[in-house]
Amino acid sequence: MLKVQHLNFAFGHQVILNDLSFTLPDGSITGLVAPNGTGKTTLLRCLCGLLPSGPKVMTLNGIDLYQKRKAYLGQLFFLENSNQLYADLTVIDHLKYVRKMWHSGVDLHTTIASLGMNGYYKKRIRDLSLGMKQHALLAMYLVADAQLMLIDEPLNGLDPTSIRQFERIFAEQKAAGKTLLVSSHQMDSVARVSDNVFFLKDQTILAEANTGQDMMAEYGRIFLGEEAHA
Amino acid sequence: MLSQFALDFKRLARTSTTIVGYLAFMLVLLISFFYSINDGDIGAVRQFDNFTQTMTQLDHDITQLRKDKTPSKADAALLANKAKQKAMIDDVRLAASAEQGTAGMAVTNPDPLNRTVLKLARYQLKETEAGRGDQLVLFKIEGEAFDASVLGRKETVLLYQTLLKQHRHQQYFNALRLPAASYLTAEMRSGRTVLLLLAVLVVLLAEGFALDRRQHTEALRQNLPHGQFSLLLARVAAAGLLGLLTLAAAVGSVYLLIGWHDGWGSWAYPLVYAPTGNTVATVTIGQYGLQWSGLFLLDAFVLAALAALVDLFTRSTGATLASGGAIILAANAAFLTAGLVRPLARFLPSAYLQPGPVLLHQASWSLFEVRGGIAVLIGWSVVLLGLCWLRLQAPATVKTKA
Repeated sequence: MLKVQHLNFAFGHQVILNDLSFTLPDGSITGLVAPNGTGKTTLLRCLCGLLPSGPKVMTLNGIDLYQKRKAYLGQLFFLENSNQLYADLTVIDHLKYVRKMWHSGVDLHTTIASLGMNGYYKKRIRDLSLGMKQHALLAMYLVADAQLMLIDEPLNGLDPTSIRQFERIFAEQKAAGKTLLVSSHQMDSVARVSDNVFFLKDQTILAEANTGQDMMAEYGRIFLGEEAHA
Repeated sequence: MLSQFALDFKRLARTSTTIVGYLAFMLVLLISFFYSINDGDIGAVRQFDNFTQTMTQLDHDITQLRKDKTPSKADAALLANKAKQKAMIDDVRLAASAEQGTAGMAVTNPDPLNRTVLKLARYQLKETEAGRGDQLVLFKIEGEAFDASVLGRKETVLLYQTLLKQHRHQQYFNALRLPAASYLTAEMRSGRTVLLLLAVLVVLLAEGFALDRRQHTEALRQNLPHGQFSLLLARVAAAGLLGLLTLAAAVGSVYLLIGWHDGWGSWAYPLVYAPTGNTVATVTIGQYGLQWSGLFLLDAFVLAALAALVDLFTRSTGATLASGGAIILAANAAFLTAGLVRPLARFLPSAYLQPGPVLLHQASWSLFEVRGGIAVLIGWSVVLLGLCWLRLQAPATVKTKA
């Protein structure tokens, strides 16, 4: 369980996150939604310590980021996007590396097969399409086997089949007790997979439980000021 | 951290910089080869010329002394001395001519020439020790430093004693140019070559630390559930080892190229040096090569630690290159013997960046013994890495841009 209390962050005088407090329980998927440039990625960076937040703000299963950084990071996985993969290395190089660095016991070939990557897991990242890279990145999340997965716009560049495949995998991870925080602009997908949705607006979070409401309409209401249709 | 090291090593090895570094190392090592590639019989001819020049000088001196029809006792003794030297150098030239006449044939006997040179060298040593060194006309040995002191004379005697004992030609004799083993040793003794090799190494190290920045792939590394210092050490080890292996590959390639072109030579050939102010000793060029490699390894480690520290503070490849370049530029005798630096020189890493003067006790600046030099290099590495550790303990600062 990730517990965040009074998280503040600013770039210079520009406040990005203002006094955020929330909890992400085990076995849940939380959607993170906001227009571009609002602070979604900044929030994810803060949650994994890439940007400073201060002590006693974030604990993951009771472990404080600032007191036990290594133990904290050992329980999460976050890589912002597939452009940050190592272009000269193969997919399997990345997976082997992640497995060792996170001391994971996940079987690589099972993961590769489950994501349909048998045809290209020995190829270098630079030779892959965006969709293939997104698969490689998701495979790294699965191989790390971390409790908390911070996933930033994972559906970019994916075809509808792959989107469904990713959603299925998210659901499987949730069923396995993992905690997922997934930022996305695909409101229909957010509606399908999320238990809760965080709308990030005016430097703070508006949390909504997913009760089957029209998420696109919610987005329009919150960010575009549109009236909900009866 | 083995996984991080393996990953860093693999990534760095696959960059084009490594290929460029390999070619640069090769070019540096081949400068002398290309310089003399069109010269025939360069070593043997030069050495024979050295003997001939000595002979010409002796002839001239003797002619001048004989003009005096009523020489003093001292002049008569000097004339006798010169005549004796002339007789001996005549024997040397005769033996050298015989040697040159058989050069290129399958088997030649180096002993007659070595014996005559040794005889002359012993005489010169005796005269120098007796304080009559100014009466000598000394000959230069190609590939060896020229030193008119008693120590220098002792070195020449020991060199030819060893060559005679091993039935081995002086390295320039009976060879068109230096064979591979001797060529590489000469390059390893050249201050210019060593400093250029270190400069190429600094470029490889700077590129190694800039890789993530250049490829925008720093994120994963910053998120790893491991200490940042151990990750840094893995990068230092990977960049340093890759640089050294690239150099080793270049050295191996040059050895094959020169060996194919000019012969292989022998790693048992002796190098003569003076470990103290009044004793001389020999080391084989094979042993010298190993010692040189060890010291160069430590040099590389210091430079890698420096590159890590500068990169950590500045995140600038230019600053990393500049700091490495400054350390290398400071490794020249003019700087290390300058007034303010002279008393501190032995504590500076730059004093030990050229393995040749350190191992063969030929430095003109103040130095510790080899073990002391090793301690200085290790000490600097530890200090630089310690500063890296301190830097990584500092709280992260907020970026001003997302």
